[in-house]
Amino acid sequence: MRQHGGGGDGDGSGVLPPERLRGLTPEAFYALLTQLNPDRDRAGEVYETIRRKLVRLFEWRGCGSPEDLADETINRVARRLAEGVELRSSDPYGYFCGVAHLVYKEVMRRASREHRALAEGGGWPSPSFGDDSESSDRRLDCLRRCLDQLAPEQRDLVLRYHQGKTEQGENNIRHRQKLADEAGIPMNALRIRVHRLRRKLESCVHACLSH
Amino acid sequence: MRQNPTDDELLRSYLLGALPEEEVDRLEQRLLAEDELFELSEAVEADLLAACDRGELAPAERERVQQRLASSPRGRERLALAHALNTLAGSPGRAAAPVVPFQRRAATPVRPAFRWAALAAALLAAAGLSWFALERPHGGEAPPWVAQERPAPASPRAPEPPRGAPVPAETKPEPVKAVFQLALMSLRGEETAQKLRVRTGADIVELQVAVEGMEDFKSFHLTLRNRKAETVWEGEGLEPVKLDGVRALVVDLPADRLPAGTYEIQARGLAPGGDPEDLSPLEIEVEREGTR
Repeated sequence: MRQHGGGGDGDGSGVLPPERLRGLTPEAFYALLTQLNPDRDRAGEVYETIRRKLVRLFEWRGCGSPEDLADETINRVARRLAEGVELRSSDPYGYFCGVAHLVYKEVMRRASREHRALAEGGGWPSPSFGDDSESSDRRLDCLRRCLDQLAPEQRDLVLRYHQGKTEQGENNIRHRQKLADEAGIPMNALRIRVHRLRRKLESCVHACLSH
Repeated sequence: MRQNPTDDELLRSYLLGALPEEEVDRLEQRLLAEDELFELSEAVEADLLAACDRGELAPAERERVQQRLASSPRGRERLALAHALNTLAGSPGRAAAPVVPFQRRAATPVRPAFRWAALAAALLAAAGLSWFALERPHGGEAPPWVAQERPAPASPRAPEPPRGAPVPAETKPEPVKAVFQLALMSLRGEETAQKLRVRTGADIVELQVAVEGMEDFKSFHLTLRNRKAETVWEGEGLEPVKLDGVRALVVDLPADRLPAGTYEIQARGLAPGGDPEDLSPLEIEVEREGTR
């Protein structure tokens, strides 16, 4: 199994970055991996998949520190497994989901208390959306470069998909349906196809901006 | 995956925080277990962010997207990416014009002498819609389709080897090709020559020019001229080949024949028994780049 690094990786040998451990013992981590899959490499992959998904679930619920909450969820599951709880092999995800909900509810209760305190102190700070013009220009430059790395038909698909109303006055839904028809695939398959390309672009732009 | 027609709607409601809690629990369990549904959820999320950026959402939905999907640093990055994609997709020249490789001339075919201004309404673009440039030795692993082995074009003019290149031996490294896919499309108001960035070290520049929609032309005559209207290269009787299902002409040129500068590709289509028909020219600008 590959070495897990601080950016989201773990290690089948039981080595996790300290920020992820949070009181989790190597024994508990081993117990978790063993229950996920007897094969250590496969277990590591399942672990990463579950963690990635949990991060997104917390994000989709609007939580501000999704990675921390995903780690907290996994660590609680691991501790319970070390105590002898067994995952149902038919549905190992159900248990994670249940624990994630508990973690979320705790966060909500805490946020509610903080919200009251903040409201008394003048309210929430306004969130800032969008880049300033300089970083926006940089991002556009990076995106152009990253688009250049795609095959032409992929680049064309992504850009056509993101067109708003077309010159012919088609709305976005009709326009995308046309794209799906052209490709001979259902709309959701088109969405996923474009999303995979967008994910490539996201990583590429992220790397480009970090340089 | 147990996807049904309502999954995308369900996911949209979920992402907007409009599902009852018990449905959220059920859906999240499915999201953890079903990879494809999870991927669809990410796709729907990205669509919402893009729609939010374009101002297509109702104010309440917009607020929910900002609070739920763009509240984390990564979420804000995704929103910024959606904005950048919308910007590029909506920029001039990105209209949904169909790819019309080599436009036919409507009027009497008067052969122009290097008329740069005559390029209005026509712009080079890469297969699909814009340029694609690739430089790599042949034979690398996992090549994109432009570099894959394909039937040789039925051109009466064999690709010329790089000047001064030794006769290829099996043990010699393959020449490095810079491959560019071209097509002509009508893009109003865009007259700028498109750039071919040829890296130092490229031996051959391969031009793949899409000629879709011109099935009546069995062969083509291409002339590449430099800014002084000198003929740099000329090919007669070029027959299209299929590249990933796209009918295209494939022309290999020694890279050293293309120093940095502006060029025009003039094209004529030849139908059996018919007169040659002039097509709109393509304007290109070759840039030379050093290897990194």
